[in-house]
Amino acid sequence: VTTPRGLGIEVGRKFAKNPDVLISRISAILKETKIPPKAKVEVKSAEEILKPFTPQQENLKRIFKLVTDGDAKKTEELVVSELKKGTKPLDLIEKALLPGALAVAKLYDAGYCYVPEVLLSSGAMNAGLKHCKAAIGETKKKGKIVMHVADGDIHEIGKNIVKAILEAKGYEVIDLGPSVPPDKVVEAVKTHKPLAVSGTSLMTTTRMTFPKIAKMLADEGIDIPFIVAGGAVNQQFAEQFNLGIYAKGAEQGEVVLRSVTERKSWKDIRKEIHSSY
Amino acid sequence: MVGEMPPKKRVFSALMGGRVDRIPAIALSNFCVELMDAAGVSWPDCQTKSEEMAKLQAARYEVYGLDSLCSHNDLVSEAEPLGAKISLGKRDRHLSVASKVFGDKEPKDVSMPDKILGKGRLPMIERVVEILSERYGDVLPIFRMITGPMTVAGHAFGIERVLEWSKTNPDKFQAALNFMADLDVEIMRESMRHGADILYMPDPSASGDLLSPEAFKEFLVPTYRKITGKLGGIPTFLHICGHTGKFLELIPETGFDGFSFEVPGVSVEETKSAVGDRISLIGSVQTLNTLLGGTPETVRKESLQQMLEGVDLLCPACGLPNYTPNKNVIAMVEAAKEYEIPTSVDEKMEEFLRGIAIGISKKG
Repeated sequence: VTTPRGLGIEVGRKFAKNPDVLISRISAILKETKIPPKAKVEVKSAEEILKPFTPQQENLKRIFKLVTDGDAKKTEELVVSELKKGTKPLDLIEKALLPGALAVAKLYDAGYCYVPEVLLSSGAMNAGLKHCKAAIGETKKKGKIVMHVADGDIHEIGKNIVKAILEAKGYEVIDLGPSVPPDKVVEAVKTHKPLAVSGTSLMTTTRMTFPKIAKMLADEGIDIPFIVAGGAVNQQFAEQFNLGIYAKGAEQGEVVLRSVTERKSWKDIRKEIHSSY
Repeated sequence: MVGEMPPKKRVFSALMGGRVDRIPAIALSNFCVELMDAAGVSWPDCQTKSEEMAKLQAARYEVYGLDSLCSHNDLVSEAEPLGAKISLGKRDRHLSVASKVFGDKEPKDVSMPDKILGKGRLPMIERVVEILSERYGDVLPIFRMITGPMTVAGHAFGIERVLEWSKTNPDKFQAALNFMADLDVEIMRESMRHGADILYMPDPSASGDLLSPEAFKEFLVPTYRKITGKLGGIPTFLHICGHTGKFLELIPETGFDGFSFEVPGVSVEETKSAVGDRISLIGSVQTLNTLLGGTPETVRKESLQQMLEGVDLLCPACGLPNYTPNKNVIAMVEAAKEYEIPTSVDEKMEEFLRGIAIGISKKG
């Protein structure tokens, strides 16, 4: 470790006699100091992010706006009145409620808002969703997913938000909750036979249970995708073990589930999703 | 060069921005299995019995050679006396809160339980402080670790609810924080009577990943000021994990004397340029890549680099992972001893100007 040599008492004394000393010293220091170039980043405005999610129809747009604002009470009122007017519940879900919550998740990714906003919009989506579901009645689920938070990790906000979105998309979520030991996860997979299983981890020290679970699943002859997500994992981590697929958010989670129903193997799904990052 | 200092003086001075003989080395959590073995303590005794806990805490100095001791290692001892059920964890897992305290109750409906300082783990922790203070208090500073108001509020009211209040109901949010701030102050005052010297406040839920800078400024900064303002001027420091980049400008306003930040959530360079000399910087040797996964040589290199970039107290970026090898922490301590503090720009300038004065006077 070296430090650039500074202006000292000696330089000061010389300067009093000959001011040029200082100039030559400063230019020497400036030459020694290297300023690294800053990386370029592409920035999208909040409006640009919201645009592809925004529905065309005025009535749906109003609900979408309420969900992005996180206003559960008004969302619920408006959904109830729209249902009375005869708007299709499936349209309300797929064109207004769900895009609203997804758009806020995208805004969060881009740094335009924080977790409170995401929680509120997910709450608003759920407030409208329960009326739409009641209007639709029992339908056949698209498939199951077993979700859990890594053993030793109690952070479940992210999992809960993705759970709400996947349920809105018509999947059945078996939620094992926070801090789940590996054998409980494997047991749940054997009982429920889901399309995929997910594990989230915020504390990096807890993520090592994931390869363990993947191994245990493989030993049981199970080869469904194991979606890993959360702040402690990434693409490289997921590629260290069989079945592992990294999902940034609910969007990729849904792609995995849909791909399984299309009978793609975990290897192909991983390749497809990881190359999209 | 300042003459050799006892560790207590070194840490006090570094935290308050004063002269030091060398940069002190400290640590946050030391709940590590290899350290337990070296200290000759067993689990769960080292989390439940004062005498054994004190032995594990003393190992910070006896084994690692750090410049400070600390009361304990958990984030649950404040929520427990309020009524939280806690899970004891394992030999390689920290204690955690198993149930939130107040159910669906709101801040206005809850009051501080009577004689709260006699409840839960608090008396046992105070006994640890007492033991450490009796045995080491002359040379080493004793940190009292107290979980910050945002995190305890999350434990008590449920973190998702508390976060929603930060947007929808500022009064409820502030009331919840105030409640916990009062509790924190009460605990620290009691601990100071038992020999605690310095407040170490981790508040992981006040993270830049969860809260907006606006909410941090409007609610957390005044709450922290309230805490730091009520402790009779003892040194205090705050730890927040993860991405705190957007909070950095505000951190010196909290009234804490030091800020412990987490690389790679923010870099030393970024942190130093945002806070300057307004607060002492504590950190930030990476816990996973370096202290857990690295070698003594990689630890040494990163430590030296970070001291050069401007940390005032050398410390792991966050709590030490459970399987951190002792030799890596020792390498961090050795690096602190090895590093020579360069003259600051201010000092260089002062020297330079003094040189001019001397030059002119001699010329005349």
